Amino acid sequence: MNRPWKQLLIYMVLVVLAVIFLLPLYGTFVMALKSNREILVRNIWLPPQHVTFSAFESAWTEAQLKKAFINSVLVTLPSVVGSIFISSLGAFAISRLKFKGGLAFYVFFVAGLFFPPHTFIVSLYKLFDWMHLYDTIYALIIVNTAFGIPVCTMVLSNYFKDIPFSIQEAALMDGAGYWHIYRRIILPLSKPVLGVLIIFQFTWIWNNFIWGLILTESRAIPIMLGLLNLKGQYFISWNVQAAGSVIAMLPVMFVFIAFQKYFIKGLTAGYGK
Amino acid sequence: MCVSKKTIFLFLITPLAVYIFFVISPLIMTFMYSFTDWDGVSTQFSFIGIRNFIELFKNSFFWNALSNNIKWLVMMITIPNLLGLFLASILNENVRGGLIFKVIFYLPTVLSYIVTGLLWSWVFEPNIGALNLFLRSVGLRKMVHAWLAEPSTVLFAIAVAAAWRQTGFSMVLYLAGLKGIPEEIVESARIDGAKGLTLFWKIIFPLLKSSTIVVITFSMIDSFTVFDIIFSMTQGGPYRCSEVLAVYLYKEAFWNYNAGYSCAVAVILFTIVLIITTVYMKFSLKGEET
Repeated sequence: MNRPWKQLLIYMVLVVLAVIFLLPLYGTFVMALKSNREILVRNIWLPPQHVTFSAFESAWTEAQLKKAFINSVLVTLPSVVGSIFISSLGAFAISRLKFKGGLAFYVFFVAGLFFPPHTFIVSLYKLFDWMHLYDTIYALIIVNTAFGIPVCTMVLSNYFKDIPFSIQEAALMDGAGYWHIYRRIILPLSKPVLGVLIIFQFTWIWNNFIWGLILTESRAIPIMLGLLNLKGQYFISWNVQAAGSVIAMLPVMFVFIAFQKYFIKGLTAGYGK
Repeated sequence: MCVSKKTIFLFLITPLAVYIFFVISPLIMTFMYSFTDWDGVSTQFSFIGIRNFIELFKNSFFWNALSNNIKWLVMMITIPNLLGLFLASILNENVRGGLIFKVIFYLPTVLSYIVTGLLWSWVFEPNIGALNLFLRSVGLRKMVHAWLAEPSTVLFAIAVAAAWRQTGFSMVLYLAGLKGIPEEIVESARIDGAKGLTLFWKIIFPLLKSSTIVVITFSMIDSFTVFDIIFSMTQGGPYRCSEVLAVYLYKEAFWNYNAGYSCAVAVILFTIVLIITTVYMKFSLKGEET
């Protein structure tokens, strides 16, 4: 008797929550498609009367999001590849070359997961200033790569160690070296986890804000800093702010929609059980 | 089988070098600066022992920031995690269209905190923001606030925005936890007459202990390191009412030129997170033994 009622109630709760969850995103997209005038005279939360892309133009060229977007692309891609590649070397040593102290190295690297990034702001600023890399994309590439090592090492070590050792032993019998085993056996067998890591690292580095804030000021600003600057510049033009937000979230949204099942699965593979 | 020392060295050297040079050494430098009166700009500074720490414990702005972190912590442990648990327990049963709901609730999790902050500042805007428009239209004028500009509402409003982004994360972790509960246990409890909320809180929730530990630990660490969303929405204002430790130490270093003092705050922050992590490790290692 009470079953259909319960079902209906659950659905209503889910739908209400889903609407609340989608509202800010809906607002962003409708605002971004409006003209300056329409933003001022009509309720901003209504769908646009006249669809226009002028806000995107303003955000992209006038507000210089183009520069920040390109910087972020130039930072994110090498940082994703760099952090995963470098970590895979260490993870290979830790989990495939059985040696004393392997666990100690693992703990040493993974401890970095729990360092609050804000502990580093003064000393990193100083370090990159001293290296004459302040306000360059190299600073951001280096920091994003280095701070990706803890999570990549953790995930890769845990994956590598479950690959059967018999494969490795057979290859050694055949006279293969460890580089060959790493390059030709372990890496190809780890494609799924490498894929998940690429997706997550991409999202994290693209979304990162703090390193841009302390290590860049104009030439090398990444997208999130560019977006915050835009908010200050276009304080009243919500359509331009909204268009900027759409531009800034587009790459991760695209990745999320394309790899949605990895997000929901990959996360649980990384933490806990 | 013996692996030569050289092989181990060759594999470890690159990650070690990068990690030590760009993560560990700045960490050590932070500790060192915390004992100096360095302003962050000049080339000269002197060691002043623990004076920064003494000053910090006397400074009301430090305690203000710490207490905001704790208020934030309370909100972030409860709101997104209870909501995530609730959603997971509904969506774990075969609801039609469950995947779409999962995607919708998880979607905000991939957005950056800067984007999140921007989106929600439109919701909370006093005149044409969605929340006040809604409240006025349903006749709740009394509840209208300048959400981000009033000391009494600001931290809660930002926490709502952060919870929006965080809920999907705990939902996914709880979904994984629920998948791990054997069907027989729930069935036999049902046969014994447990149902509804009793079944959930007495039988299912205790079995989700390991998920809860993970979710709460991450919420705690996130709560002490929160920065982006607060910095982008209010920069800690009004009147430092939303200023948390990370925002406080950023301003001290880059706006007030108190780099040494800022590093002392950073050391405290580091220690807090270290304590939480250690407790978590103890808990989770215990869990693995049994």
